[in-house]
Amino acid sequence: MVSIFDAVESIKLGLLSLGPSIAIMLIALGGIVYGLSYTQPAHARGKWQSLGIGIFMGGIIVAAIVGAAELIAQSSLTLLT
Amino acid sequence: MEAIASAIDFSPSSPAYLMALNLIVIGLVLSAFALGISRVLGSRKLWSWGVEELAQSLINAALVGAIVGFGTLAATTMGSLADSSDFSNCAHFEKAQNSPIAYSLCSIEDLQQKSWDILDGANEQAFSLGVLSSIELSFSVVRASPFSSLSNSAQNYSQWAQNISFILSALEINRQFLFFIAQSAFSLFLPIGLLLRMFFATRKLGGALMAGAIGFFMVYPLLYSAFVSGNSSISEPYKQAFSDLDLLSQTVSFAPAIDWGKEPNMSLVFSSLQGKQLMEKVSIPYKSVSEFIGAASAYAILYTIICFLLTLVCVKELSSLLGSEFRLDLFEKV
Repeated sequence: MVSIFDAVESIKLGLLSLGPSIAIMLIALGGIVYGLSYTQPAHARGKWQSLGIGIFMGGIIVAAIVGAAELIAQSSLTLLT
Repeated sequence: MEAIASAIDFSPSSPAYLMALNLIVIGLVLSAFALGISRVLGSRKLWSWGVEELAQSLINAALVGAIVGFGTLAATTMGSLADSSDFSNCAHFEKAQNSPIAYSLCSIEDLQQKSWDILDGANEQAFSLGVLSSIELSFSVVRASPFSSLSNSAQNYSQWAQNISFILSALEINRQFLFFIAQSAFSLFLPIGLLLRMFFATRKLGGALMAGAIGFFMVYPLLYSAFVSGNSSISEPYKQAFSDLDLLSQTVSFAPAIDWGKEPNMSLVFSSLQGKQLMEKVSIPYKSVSEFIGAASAYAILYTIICFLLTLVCVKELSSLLGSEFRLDLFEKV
């Protein structure tokens, strides 16, 4: 049983360490795509910009939720009590 | 005994609680990935799934918190129902005081001990009376069996011993079931339920497992404890049956130890039983032993079945509640 506890703990730690990396990658990628949008012709620029903002927002969402996951879990414990 | 005390522990520092919390964090992180990637891909379906998972993770956390709260409430309820002096020698109660499951286990073990005492007495009397009923006196032209009428009583005592054996088996089934629940409900079924509940395809199964863990770990022992608390209805028949069987034992227990080959011993048997109103003494325990068997059957079988059925109803209702979707679209319509 102890090994199951340890496995779950290690999965959690792995995901929590993976989250910030993914968030930073998405934020950086979003910035690059947004920046590249200005190298595109006017008719394609909007598409590139919305893609860049989407990737950037995805990174922000991942960072926000992963960063606060343990706090959210702790706070939610008292929702029904 | 130690395993029971540690297994039923669901305090915020227990491994089972920490595992549940870790699973909730894993659910939150997975939902964060889904939400983030859905923004990248522009997928509304993945976004909805991520929101659903996020909501389910929050609900999981709230449920775990509620379970801890309910555990505290159950312990408080048990504290007012149970008299700790009843189980001063019970290891479960000593180590996990006021836990309904510990109280149920102690009640069952107490009843098992009482049933063993009465079973011993009934067996002993069945044997002694059987020996007496088989005595045959052969004279030159006549053969007599002066105690043959005791064979019916011997059969009755033997039948009671069988009934008590059946009650002991039923109690042992209940005890083993409670042991299984104590050791696996919160350390195995609850975390697996939480894990399965995180995913759409297995949400109903996860909800059913969680409902089963909550129902059988908390509701069933609490109901059983409520039924058996202050079990004076069995203490009195037990004391009476024990004393009646002891009284009969003093009268007939010498019979199996007699050396029947010696004629003086025969006269000793007759002289010791003479004037002792044997039939009356044989029939006195009938009332108290029957009452004890009836009361013990109620505790071992009737109350167990009632509690089990009530728990099943509770689990079914909880299962449909815990296995349901968050239905975000309903909120969107509002």
